Amino acid sequence: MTPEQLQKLSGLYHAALELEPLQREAFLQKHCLDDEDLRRELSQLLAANEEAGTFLIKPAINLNREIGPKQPDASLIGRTFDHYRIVSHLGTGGMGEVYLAMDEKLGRKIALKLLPAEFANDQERLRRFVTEAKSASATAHPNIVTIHDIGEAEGIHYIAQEFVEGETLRSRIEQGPIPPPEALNIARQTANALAAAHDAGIVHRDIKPENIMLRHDGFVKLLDFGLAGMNPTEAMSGDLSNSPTLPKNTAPGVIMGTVNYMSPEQTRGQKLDFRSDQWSLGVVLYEMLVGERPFQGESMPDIFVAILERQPVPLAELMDDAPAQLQQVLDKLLAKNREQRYQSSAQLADELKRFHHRLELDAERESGQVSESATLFLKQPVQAAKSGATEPPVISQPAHTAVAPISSIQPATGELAAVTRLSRSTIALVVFLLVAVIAVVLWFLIQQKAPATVPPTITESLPERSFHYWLTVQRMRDGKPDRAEFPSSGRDFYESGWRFRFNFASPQSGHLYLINEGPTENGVSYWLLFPMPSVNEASAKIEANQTMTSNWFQFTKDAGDEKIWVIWSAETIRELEALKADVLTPQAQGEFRNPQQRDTVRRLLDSLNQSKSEAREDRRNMKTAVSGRGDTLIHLVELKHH
Amino acid sequence: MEEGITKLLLQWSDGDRTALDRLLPLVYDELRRLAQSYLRRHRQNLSLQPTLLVHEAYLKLVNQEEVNWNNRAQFFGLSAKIMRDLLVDHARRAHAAKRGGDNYSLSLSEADRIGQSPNLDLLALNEAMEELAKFKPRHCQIVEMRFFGGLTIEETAEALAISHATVERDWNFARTWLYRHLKSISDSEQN
Repeated sequence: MTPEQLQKLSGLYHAALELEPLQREAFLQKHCLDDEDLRRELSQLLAANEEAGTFLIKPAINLNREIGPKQPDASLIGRTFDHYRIVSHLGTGGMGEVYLAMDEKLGRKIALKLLPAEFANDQERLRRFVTEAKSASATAHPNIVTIHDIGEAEGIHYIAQEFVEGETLRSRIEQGPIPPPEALNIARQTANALAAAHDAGIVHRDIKPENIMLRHDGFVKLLDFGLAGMNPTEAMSGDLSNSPTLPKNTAPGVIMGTVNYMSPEQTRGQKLDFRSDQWSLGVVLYEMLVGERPFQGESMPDIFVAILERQPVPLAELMDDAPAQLQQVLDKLLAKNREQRYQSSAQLADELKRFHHRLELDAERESGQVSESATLFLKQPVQAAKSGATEPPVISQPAHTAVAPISSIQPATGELAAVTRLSRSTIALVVFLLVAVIAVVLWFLIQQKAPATVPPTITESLPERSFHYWLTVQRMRDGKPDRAEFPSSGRDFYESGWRFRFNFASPQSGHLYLINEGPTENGVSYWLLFPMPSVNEASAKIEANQTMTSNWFQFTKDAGDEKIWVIWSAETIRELEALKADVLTPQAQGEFRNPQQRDTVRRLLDSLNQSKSEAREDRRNMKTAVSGRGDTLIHLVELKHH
Repeated sequence: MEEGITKLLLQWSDGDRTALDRLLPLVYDELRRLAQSYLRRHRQNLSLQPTLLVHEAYLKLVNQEEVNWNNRAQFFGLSAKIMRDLLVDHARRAHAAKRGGDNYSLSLSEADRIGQSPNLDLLALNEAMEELAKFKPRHCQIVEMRFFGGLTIEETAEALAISHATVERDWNFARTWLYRHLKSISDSEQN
């Protein structure tokens, strides 16, 4: 096709798409009179429009995943590294492929883990790994896999470790929920391993079912100490990273393998300690008991939300005869605040041991029914603390409006549950996802109630009014301010739970009213955000060049557009002044609660909104200036939040 | 946080084209690292939005206190371009490594395959995009941002300083055109 034809193509394409399919043929005939090429191309494009379906909708990076890592290299079978002869491929471990090998010197089977070549690039990490792995191994704890040797041959780094004949806890869980006595036994042994390691000052950082081996004789062996610390988030690009550890300051966007087991502090990229391992063990224990993870989600941020915000579904809802004490143990292990977990892993191991013994005793006492008590059935499919767009979030706030004055939220901390209050790093990932739409701006002729086509002579004779505004936004985390406040033009994308103040100034004096319009289940609701009793003595009057800073308001759970009407008027607005006393009560908290009040506000906004004004955003200073002619300016600020 | 990158971004925004030349390799390195790290993590069921990579790179590289909305949009646009380079390059190398294999063969006999298949031929797509760019350069950029950069409609609109509606319109045309273009190539190869 010629360039001219191509240029024509898109215009005709869009025009034709607007038409009913039956009309398109005629349209093509008409517009491609003697251009058969164009007609054919266009008709094929229109057909392709339907056919294209989801073409290119799924982002490129997700299409390419099968070409990531190499498959285990069969050619390695039979090869010898130092005195280890590779016999067969066992599986893919947290970091590299694991082979069964013969130790030719000692004549025993070992598991040989070959680390990817990239591993060698970072000597510092390698050294740290060796140190940790060796010291864990040096505890010589029966529940910790012994590392025999760490070495390098032919440029490949390897770990020779005890060969554990058995299955991973992962494959055991896949066969179904594990009866409490057995699950406790596994947890107890894992806790023993952790207690030994923690005593030696080593944190595992990557407790998950894949790292827990169940030997056929009932022994539990914990794998891969030190590997988690090898997570290549900085200089490395190798395939070393099936572990969730997030070093500080590393956004977790690409660390995804096992986020379900991450502790809240881990999702935030904070420094980990032995209590982080306890959390992960709690997740594993829960999963053993009910067969599902306590914190789930469709995507990584969703999982993080679940970890940070949600309480797992209580065992009692998922199992018959769930021992109450088991729930207590889980509650303690899965305490969001690590201060509330066990203050030593030995203590945890002790408690699990006692509890396990008691369960066994109970079982014996009820002998004859032992098998029954050992097989607890799931009551219902797990609806764990799953996070996702389709499910209403756990929320402790009234659902009336998406913006609530802080004063209506008591207490001010703790209760400020927000749907997507994520870790700092996660917030960082999502904050920038969308940018707000600039509001429609109109200006109003209060005297005439004139139609939009007012003759210019009249409008120009009216006085000009103007104001500018900006927001002060405070990010929040765990009900506490997170980092410094920042100025915002209102076009950022905010998180539920965050707070903002509205700042306003004008070269003229006048009367300011801020009305929040928010959707609720029962329709639209209106809230008076300004004037407020606590600011400016409940007066709408603002002096020229006075900067008015509102109360803090908080984005509550309802995601979407938050409308704030700014009304700037030379005179007081009669309708609003009349209602002020009714809505600025401790009970109403600024809400226009009865239908008549709402009608009044709706009509007022509709009538003011006939007018025209102009808004200009000064992006450098994050301020928006609004101007227009007439006595009253109205401007709509739409804040997006989620 | 790279103060240098922030500075370069600001200079570039102020019209200093040479700043871009210095900026590009820095952003490229970071994105490559993030993308590789992601691509190697193959066994997970979770899917990552590439926009997270771009956002992550942005957060790591740019001091947000110093830049504005507009700079961010530019950064995203730049990153999408880099993501395209990275992914196409990745496909090219994988293609070379598997020459003779059928991993990259493209058959469009089933409509869905091209959309869903992990075997979408990025190399062919890349060539088709170059064709598209000859008469619709902006459409091509939109594909770059949406498909390779994973940017939302809104982010794309910002980065290109055009309206949402225009992005949606152009995105529709570009997707359809590319689909048909690839399909006709595929059909002619089969015959």
